[in-house]
Amino acid sequence: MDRATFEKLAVEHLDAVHRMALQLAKQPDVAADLVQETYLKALRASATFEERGKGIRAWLFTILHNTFYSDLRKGQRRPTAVGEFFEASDTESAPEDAPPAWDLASLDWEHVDDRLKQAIDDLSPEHREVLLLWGVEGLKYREVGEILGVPLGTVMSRLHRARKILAESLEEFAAELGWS
Amino acid sequence: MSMGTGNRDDDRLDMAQLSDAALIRAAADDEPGARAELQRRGISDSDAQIVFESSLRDAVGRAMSGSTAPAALRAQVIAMMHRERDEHPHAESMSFVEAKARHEAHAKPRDAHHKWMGSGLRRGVAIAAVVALGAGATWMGVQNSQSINGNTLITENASFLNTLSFIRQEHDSRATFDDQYRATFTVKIEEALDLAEHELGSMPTCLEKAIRGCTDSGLVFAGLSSCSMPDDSGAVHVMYWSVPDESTVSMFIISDLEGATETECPTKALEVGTSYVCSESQESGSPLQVWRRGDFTFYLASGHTEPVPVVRKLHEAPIREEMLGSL
Repeated sequence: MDRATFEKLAVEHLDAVHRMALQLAKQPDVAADLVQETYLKALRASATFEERGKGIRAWLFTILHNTFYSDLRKGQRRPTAVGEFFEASDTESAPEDAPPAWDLASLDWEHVDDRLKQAIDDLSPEHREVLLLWGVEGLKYREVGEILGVPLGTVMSRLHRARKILAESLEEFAAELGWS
Repeated sequence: MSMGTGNRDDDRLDMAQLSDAALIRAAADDEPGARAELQRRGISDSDAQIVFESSLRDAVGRAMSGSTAPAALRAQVIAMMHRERDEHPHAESMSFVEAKARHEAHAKPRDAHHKWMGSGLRRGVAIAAVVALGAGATWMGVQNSQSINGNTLITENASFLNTLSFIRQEHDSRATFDDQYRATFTVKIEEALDLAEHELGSMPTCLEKAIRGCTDSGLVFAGLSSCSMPDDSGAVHVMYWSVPDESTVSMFIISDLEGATETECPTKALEVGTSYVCSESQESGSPLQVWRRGDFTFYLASGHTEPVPVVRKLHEAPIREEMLGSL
């Protein structure tokens, strides 16, 4: 892939990369720096891109993730709810409770979106990141695992916890409004 | 733990290892093999759970996918890519000579369209085309005859109208950072200044100050390219990003054709010391202005009014303004 094609493809994913950067960093100026750093690294390593066998979007997310957490560990970027990240263990397991079965379609989505955004904001960074790669970017568990460099079980575990928190939040919301 | 393999090198999930709950979620996520495993286990009452999980995923996608990267950030990333090309010896570098060559290669189809102004035979075609352009000229606010210095009807001059139309189109296209922007603009300041001097024959004093000093005024220098004008004048297109309002402003600087008459170079009839503002463009929030200084004509185009005063000041636009549509 020549440089110009690579640049064009990379820029096509700028919205997605920025969206994720914003969710990680939570501050627009920090997110902007993070995006630029991600693209600079991607560009400088573009010659090796094809050898890695990933799509360019997944590759950009990988660089973004590594850059964010690398800097985070150095104490350069610290989002509000970062404490849990350091305490998280790779041996985390998923609760075995079954998924809810109530009808989400009964909700008024105009109101639900705000509630959902708030619930997502309240998630820890690593749960939020998995959730967004899955829910917004539509990635498979395996792809999410590759981007984050964690086992499939960890992806599923984090995803389950994030979904559970969101489902509970929506259920509470529905109950408050007498919708369920 | 009854889910997943825990091995990051595994390529796929082993569905047989998952709990029923994890399997239902995997089925909702269309993970390969999940639904087959559900069937194999005889789990037939999970439809509502699958629908719930799928709906939740859709809801997350809908709630969180709307935002786009700020235009200024997009400009900075693209500019950074250009700088990388220029500054890294092993990357493709784009010197101004190369930029010019690329530009010419890209500009051929456009030139074929615009350079009909050069021949007398085609001039009649040009005027006919400008008549057809009438509706387009209306939005520029230049449809009324404008008398400059009491003799030249500049807004009836086909060349002038064509230039305005060209400038508006060029700005609108490049402001989207299209392929031609990527191929022809350089953001490296020294190269940009060299290119400007090469194209214009000499350097307008304000241009170097503007490019070097724009960041002090809240602007980002977004690049400079040579520009093939309809009448073959030497010209450059300079773009700035206004950081506060995330908008683009273009300056087109055109040097006079040597020995050209006012008919051939109609902006020579414009009064030095006055900025001419296309009234309807101004009113519609997409400013288009023109002024003269020395041997150069300056055109300013933008889709936003906010950054215009700053760019005008940087390029030493005359303070006195006249509306082109209402003189």
